Amino acid sequence: MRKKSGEVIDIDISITVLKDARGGITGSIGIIRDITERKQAELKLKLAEERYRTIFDNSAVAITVCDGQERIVSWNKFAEDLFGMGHDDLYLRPVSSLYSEEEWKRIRSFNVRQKGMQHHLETRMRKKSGEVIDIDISITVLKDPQGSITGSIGIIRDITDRKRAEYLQMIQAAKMESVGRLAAGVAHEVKNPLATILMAVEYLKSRFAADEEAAPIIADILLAVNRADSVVKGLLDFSAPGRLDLQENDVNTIVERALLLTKHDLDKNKVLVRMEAGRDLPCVRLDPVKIEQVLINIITNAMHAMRSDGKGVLTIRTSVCKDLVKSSFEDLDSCRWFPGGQALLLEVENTGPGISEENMGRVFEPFFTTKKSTGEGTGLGLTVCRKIVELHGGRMRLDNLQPRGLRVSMIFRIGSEVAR
Amino acid sequence: MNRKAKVLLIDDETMFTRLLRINLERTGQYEVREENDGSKGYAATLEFRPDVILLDVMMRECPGPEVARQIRADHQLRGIPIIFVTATPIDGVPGRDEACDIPYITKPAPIAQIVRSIDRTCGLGAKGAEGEAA
Ligand SMILES: Nc1ncnc2c1ncn2[C@@H]1O[C@H](COP(=O)(O)OP(=O)(O)OP(=O)(O)O)[C@@H](O)[C@H]1O
Ligand SMILES: [Mg+2]
Repeated sequence: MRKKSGEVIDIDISITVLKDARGGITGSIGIIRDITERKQAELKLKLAEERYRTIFDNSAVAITVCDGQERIVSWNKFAEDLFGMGHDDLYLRPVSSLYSEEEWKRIRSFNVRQKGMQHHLETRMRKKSGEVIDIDISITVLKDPQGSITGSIGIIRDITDRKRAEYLQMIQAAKMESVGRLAAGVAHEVKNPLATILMAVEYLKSRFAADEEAAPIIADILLAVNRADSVVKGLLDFSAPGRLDLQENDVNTIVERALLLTKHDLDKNKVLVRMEAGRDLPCVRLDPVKIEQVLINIITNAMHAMRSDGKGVLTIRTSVCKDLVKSSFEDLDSCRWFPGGQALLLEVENTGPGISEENMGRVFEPFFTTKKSTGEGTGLGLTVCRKIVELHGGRMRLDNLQPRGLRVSMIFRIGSEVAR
Repeated sequence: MNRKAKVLLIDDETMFTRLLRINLERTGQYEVREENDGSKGYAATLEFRPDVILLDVMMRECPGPEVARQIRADHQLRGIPIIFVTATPIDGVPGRDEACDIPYITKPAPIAQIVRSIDRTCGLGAKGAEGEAA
């Protein structure tokens, strides 16, 4: 109806027709109530309902609503997808039938109906296909004003992938542990006889120092002992890089120490060292001894690669990588692990021949080496390096350079937090 | 050092201790005793009263850290410096944490390194020495 002012109002009208004794219509009575307010309240409710409906339908979690007898009465699209079920499968389905008997008993044991809610219960559900999935469910019990239960709402997340990852990680950890135990056992059984051989050789060396024939033989035995020892050491490093002793560190200092420790060999091989130290680098948490070990390994590799060149150049560069996405680490799975896509970048380049395409995929394999003939390599160097870097939550990669050379890049998380 | 330093080797590898003894004795600076049964390590220390003990970690009869504990529980012997000599990684060895001040050498170690550790440890006396801890 329009008021005189032109304002339109919602009304509720009851009309009674008035008739005379013979049934002729004589007029009518209209009872009119202004219901504008009620209408608006209804509209609001409808809007609110629609809003909730939208949330309900479009949630990236499955939501199920049950009645007082624990039968499913309402659900969203995501629930249908998750269970692989349609309307006929779900409507009035006893919610217990989604679980195995055992799991249902376990859920029951949480006394959710009494407590009124239960957050993040991890359990397993059966899909229509029979496939079992891991889920995380939060349950809220609905009650009427008198306090009797009228139903419940379940919010369900599929955590199958997470569970699988956790499981694989557990297997991997168990594997590493058994490899670690094996390595420790091997170390005991191999290093003890090596110690005995070494003592014996040193005895012979002191007795036959002047013997021209014996001296080179003794030297060979010493080399062989060293080689066997470094294999076992590598195996131990590989299987148990051990706990990290993390400290806030200046990377440049670690680099300098590694260079100092390799200086003698670098000079001997006439390698020119260029240090491009970034200034005002942010702090990173590193184990200085372990990172030094990584650098020494990489520098040694570079030295070996450049030996035939005569004029090798080794460049070590430290900097902040402002945008990992644009770096060679772009394929990084876990950018979220590097806040703001930033990281501390440590690069070691050499002017050697680089790594052939076919070997590139194998250099991180344990015991892969192209130095077998010279007896200089055990093939564990890079394996251990990568493991140490990854233990720091960092990443490591190799790239051939144009026209020749190889770059080893490592990134580390900036800031004081460290995890995996 | 005028008199020879007394070195006690407690290690169940008999061949190793014999050769180590010979090598140490050949330097003319040490008087060496071997004990190949870890469980007798304490008794041997009590009897020999060494200036320094080289102690194996993984021994069949009795682990090294336990021998160290027994020796240190005796106030007469407490001051004798100990150096672990180990073929296995020392981290995580049971009892290592209590004996974490004890320096260690890893096998195989050249005789020069062992001699250096002994001399440094004896030189510093009883006050817990920095060994060749790798
Ligand atoms: N800077 C480099 N230039 C060219 N090739 C390299 C370089 N670094 C590593 N490689 C190749 O990768 C292989 C594996 O390297 P890795 O360090 O794991 O083992 P290694 O050096 O052979 O032995 P070690 O265990 O003693 O380090 C090497 O044998 C070599 O062929
Ligand atoms: Mg290497």
